[in-house]
Amino acid sequence: MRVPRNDHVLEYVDAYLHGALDKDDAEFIEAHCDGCSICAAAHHEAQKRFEILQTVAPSEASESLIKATWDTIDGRVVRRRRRWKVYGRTVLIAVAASVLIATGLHVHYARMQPTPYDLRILGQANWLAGSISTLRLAILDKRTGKPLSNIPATLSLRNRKTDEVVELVSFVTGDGRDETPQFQLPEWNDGRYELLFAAKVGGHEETLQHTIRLRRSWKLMLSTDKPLYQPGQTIHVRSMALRQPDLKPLADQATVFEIVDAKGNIIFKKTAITSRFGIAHADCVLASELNLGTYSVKCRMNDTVSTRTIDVQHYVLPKFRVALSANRPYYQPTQEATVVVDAQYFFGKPVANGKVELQVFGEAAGLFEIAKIEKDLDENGRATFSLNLPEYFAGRPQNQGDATIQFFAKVTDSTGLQYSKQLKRLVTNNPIHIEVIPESPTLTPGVANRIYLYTSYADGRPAETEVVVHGVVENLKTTPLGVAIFELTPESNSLSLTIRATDSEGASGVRTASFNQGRTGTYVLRTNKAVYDGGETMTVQCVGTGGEQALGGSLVASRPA
Amino acid sequence: MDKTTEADEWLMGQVALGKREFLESLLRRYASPLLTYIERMTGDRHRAEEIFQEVFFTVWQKRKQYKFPKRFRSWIYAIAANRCRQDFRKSKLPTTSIDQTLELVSVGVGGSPSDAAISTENATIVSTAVTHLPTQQRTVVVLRIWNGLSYGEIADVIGKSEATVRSHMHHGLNGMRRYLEPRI
Repeated sequence: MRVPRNDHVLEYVDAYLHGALDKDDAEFIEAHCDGCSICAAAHHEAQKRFEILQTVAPSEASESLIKATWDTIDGRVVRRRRRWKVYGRTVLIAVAASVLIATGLHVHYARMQPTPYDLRILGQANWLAGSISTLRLAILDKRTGKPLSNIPATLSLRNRKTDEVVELVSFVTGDGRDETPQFQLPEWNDGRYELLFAAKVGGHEETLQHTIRLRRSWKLMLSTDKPLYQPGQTIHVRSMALRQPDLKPLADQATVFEIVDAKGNIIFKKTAITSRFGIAHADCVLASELNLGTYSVKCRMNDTVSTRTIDVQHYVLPKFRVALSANRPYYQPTQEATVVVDAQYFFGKPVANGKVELQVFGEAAGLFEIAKIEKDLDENGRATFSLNLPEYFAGRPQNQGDATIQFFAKVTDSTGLQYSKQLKRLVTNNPIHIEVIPESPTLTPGVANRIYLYTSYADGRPAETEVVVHGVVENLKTTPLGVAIFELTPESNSLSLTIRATDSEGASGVRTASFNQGRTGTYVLRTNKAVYDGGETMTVQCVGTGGEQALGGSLVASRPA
Repeated sequence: MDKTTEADEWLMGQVALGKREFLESLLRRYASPLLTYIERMTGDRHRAEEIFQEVFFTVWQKRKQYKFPKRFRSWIYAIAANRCRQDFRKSKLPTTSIDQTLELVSVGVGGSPSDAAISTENATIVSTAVTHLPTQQRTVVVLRIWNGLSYGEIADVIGKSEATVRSHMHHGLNGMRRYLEPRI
């Protein structure tokens, strides 16, 4: 704080009187007030205020206040001491109790002994609700490690939320083996449940608890009455829900149908309840003006969703039908192909005097045009085309070297309406196809391996043929189903066979097949049949050259029957 | 040993050792000055008495924090100042009871009835002027004018420098001047 030297000191005279200014400022104030009548007056006023402040009497503390204060301190000190005593006693009691409990627990656990029995559950932890399942259960003696016999046991499932317990199966253990009882799981909601395995052994009950997960699974099939709709039409949607794995219909289940338009807007949503046959349905009437395009129809039952798409477009029904037929199911290069185009109105009359344009395409890295012919339809609505196929076609390895030819007919009637039809045919050099199937991937050395042959025409029909396997068999005939068998004993590590098949009309096919020989000491396994009914006896024959040896085997099912 | 003549610091030193009987001497010695300070600060006699009791109980509670030969007067006023601050925080604004002020000032007023009436009125106005000051300035003004502490001691009480204390005094006096000038 510094008193300004070039101004009045009105604001500092109080501080001066109360000694708040340092020596220099105080002297300046004194000197300034001596020479300045304004500040001298202010000084005088300040002096009056100073005196008034000094006359304000101090507060006197009464004897009763002093006594009350002393009593307060005394009382609080006493209370505080008492509180500390209570606290100390409480802590002491708590410590003593803790020591007693800890000692008791220690003695208890020190005297505990593990049970001499061991319960085991082997199997899956995720199950389908309502299905039939099984587990491998064992009650073992820990000392010997062997299963105990004649022990009554139960397997049950507990719902943690409702505390409901369902007994799945009860049984008595057999002699020296694990038990694999079958049981039906309850129809409970998805979630985690407790599996309880209890056995009365050694006079008291042993229990093992596992958490398993139940879930429900459905198959949901969604269908619509048509694949294509026009604005204003009604979409009839239907769903069928089947429970897995037994495929029983799911009744009384809420099913939500949703239809989403081509721009992703949900235009329809309805919840339906499935009938006792698992079927639910909904009808959606389309507006007369709406987004055209591909619509998505969804059906949801809990987590299972089934979707299909439909088209909503303006369309006009065709007025006549175009049929296209060829004289052969397949062709060979240079053969003459005859194609008949037949156009008939739906009201029963032929498309007489119409025009037809036939285009013929071959395939070689895309389509290439072979011929383009135009004709008029006759009074019966028919036109016949004949052409000689070219010498060269590009075949595909995946089609065994066969090529494809396409006939594309476009018919225009007298009113200008135009409809078209397409027809495909194979072009092949080998009218007869030969499949060679050995009984095992590699030929077993020293054994007459069976080789199966299947001959068929290019269009897939079985071909009854005479087969020559050069160097092996000369007069082999296939059955009317096109099948023949011959035996082959390999004499080298790899061999190649040329097989020719010829049918009664002279159509033929050639095939070269290569085989590899397997390791010495391997076997061929043969069954007496390919397909068995339940309860039938399967005869398995093992053929090899390894001398007399003990054989063992197991039968593994690809899925539960 | 006569407890009544011993220095405050020695008495407090004994209290710090757990001898509660020495606290009574300090209590009697500081009863009126401390009550004056607290009442000027709060402007309420009843609250002042409550705080007064709290201050002495705090002195007993915190006795072990007292370091002999620290000045006891500064220490106890610092405790009182803190306690008043806590009280302000709870009650937001200090209040002034005119009746109580009348009662208080009447004790120290003599002379004619008219003089007593003027003194009483002046005391009321002064008390109100003090309660209008900010807490820090009020602490400095009360400790200086009515408790007679030096600026150095006040600096110890509020934990600021002496220059700051003088500045607070200057501003506090100016604040009171602005309030008192039109009224006295």
